[in-house]
Amino acid sequence: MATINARFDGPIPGENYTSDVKNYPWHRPPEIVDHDEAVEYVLDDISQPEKISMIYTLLETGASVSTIVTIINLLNVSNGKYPIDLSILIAGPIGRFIEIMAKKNDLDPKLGVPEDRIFTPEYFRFISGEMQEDSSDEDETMPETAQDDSEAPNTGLMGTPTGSSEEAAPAGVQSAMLGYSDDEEVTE
Amino acid sequence: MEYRDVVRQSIKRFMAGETPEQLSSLKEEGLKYTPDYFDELEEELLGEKAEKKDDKESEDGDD
Repeated sequence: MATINARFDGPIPGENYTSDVKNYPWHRPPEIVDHDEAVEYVLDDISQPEKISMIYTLLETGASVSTIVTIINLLNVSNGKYPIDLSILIAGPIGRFIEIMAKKNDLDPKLGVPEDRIFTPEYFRFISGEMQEDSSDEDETMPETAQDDSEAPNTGLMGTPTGSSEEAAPAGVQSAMLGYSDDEEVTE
Repeated sequence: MEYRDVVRQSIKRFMAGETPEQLSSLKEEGLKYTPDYFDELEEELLGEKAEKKDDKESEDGDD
């Protein structure tokens, strides 16, 4: 029985032109394209008692302001209220409004915004997974490194080469390893 | 960068009092919902609340 190759199980080029482009609200022109108008729409919308109480509940349960703004924006964009690029521009005013309303109701909202970070080599090492962020204190890392060195095998094939002459094999053994017999000793 | 990261950045910038340069030039009369607008709103809403709290505390003190 023939199996369908996954590479051919996709849309053919131009297939998108055969479907109705107005199937979804975000395929159609948005209702609001003006910044102030969009902000006003959202502020009026979330000021309704049932919606603002839901926002307070979310904040009390630990949701950040930025998370709530993301939810509101994605909902309105998916309903075709305003375009997604305008939603980014109005995120600030909406977040600020939610923060003010939360403070008014004795809540201490988490903004959920990233803090300014100075990009250091340690930070990039952390990003690449080489070290933990909290290990900025070098005193904590140094003993671990020393311990790792002490645990490393120093004999056998996987042993750490030390380079010291004491561990070098005697001349007789070396010549035997090179295939020379005792009779044909290497002359230096 | 994901959408929520962009939203976070947008909120952070707005909280710091910044608005996109080109955005304010879209309207001759300027934008209504600026950081200053929300600062005034905060002062208005939270200022009233602070006054009410002060009044309550003074009433309790009189008793």
